[in-house]
Amino acid sequence: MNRVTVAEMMTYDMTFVFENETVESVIELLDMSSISGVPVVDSDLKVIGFISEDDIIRACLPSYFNLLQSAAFLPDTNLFISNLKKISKDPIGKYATKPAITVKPTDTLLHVADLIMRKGFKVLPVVDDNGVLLGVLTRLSVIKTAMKRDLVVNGQ
Amino acid sequence: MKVLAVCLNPALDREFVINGFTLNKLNIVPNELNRMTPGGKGVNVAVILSKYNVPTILTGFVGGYVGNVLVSELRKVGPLLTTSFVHIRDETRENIAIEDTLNHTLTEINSEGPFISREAYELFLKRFEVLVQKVKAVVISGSVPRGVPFSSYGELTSIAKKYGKTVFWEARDEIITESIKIAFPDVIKYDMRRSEKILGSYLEHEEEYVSAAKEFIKRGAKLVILSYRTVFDFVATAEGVWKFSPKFEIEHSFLLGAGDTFVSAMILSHLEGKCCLDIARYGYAAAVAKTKYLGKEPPKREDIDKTLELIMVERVE
Repeated sequence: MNRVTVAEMMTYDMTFVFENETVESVIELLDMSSISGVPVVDSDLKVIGFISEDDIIRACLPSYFNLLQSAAFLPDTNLFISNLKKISKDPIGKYATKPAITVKPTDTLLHVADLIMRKGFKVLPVVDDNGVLLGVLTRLSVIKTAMKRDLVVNGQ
Repeated sequence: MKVLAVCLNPALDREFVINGFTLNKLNIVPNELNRMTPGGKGVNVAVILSKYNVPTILTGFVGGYVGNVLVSELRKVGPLLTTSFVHIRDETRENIAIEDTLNHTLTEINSEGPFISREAYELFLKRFEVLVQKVKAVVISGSVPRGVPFSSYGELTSIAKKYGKTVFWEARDEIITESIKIAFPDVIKYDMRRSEKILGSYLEHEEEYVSAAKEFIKRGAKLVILSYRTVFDFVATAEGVWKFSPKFEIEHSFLLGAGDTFVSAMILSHLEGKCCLDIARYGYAAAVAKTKYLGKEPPKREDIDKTLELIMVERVE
């Protein structure tokens, strides 16, 4: 199992955004392409961040929200919507997670499983030794690969 | 990555074999006779290149449900093909073919295709400029969707040339005529399936093809390929003009995919260090090798090598 690498599990897709593109356009992209997050790259295709639905939601909530146990404590239920409208024309670079946690094609299943399970990442950008985007690794592809490997191990 | 393949107007090709197809009736298609394949000339070239072990990035526009199906079909090609599309709201083209082998009919239903907004086109140009720096060669092939100017091949080529990349085009006359006003590629292969029009004029005689090919070389292309009466080609470089012919009878019903195989094999040969007439010879041999069987699958490298002996290269100028 340890020998299974990211190269065998990754999705060879380079959908990306630049950090000066707007929040609105990124939401549109996530919706149209049915993905939950997208790498942010520079003009050399190097991954400089990652923007996910979670990052956008977080950007629309007050900074103390993380300290609360429940959304019921929010002073105004429309706060989220009005904040989303306020940030919609902002550059996405302002809200992206930087630097992005990335993996390499030679990283093992064990390494990425750890990132996914312990840190809760849904999508991880895959980069080469220079940090240039090559594709993405999704949680589902890791699960699917692990399942296929089990079948081989059991000889079924 | 070695090649950036641009397919501005990709399609999902759907093929239904319905023997005894009847209008105004319910026609049931068995699952095994219902096929779905990624289509569009640039897509085909990218798929063929990846089958020849050339790592390729495929870019263009995809949209809607059909676009998502197209991308998921492309995922099945393997790790040598990386997609990097700009996503749009409109649906990607869908080309439906209903084949009836009993009544010998072919019914085709092609969707009009998407409209590309100016904003989406500009997003694409920005992404193209970043991607092009990561490859050795660029191929732009096929039609342009509504909203994208015919001069787009020229715009993309002037960006690619900024970074010293080799550029291949296969397109029809309207696109080439408008695009060469902006920039010239290294290799032009005319798509003459629907019209034998070159630079606005309809060609008929061999001499007209020869002078048209020479004109492109004079204006900046390094290699020009003009298809003549389907199975022949006039090929021009700065050194002269040649006529390529097969030494055996070509089965016309097996021509599907030959043009895309031609372009892919030329790129392959270029990446292997060949130049000018040699890459055209290799492309032509690959296209002729492809006509020996039905289907879109590219020929094996050894079949192309064998077919090099089965083509005639005759200098005409």
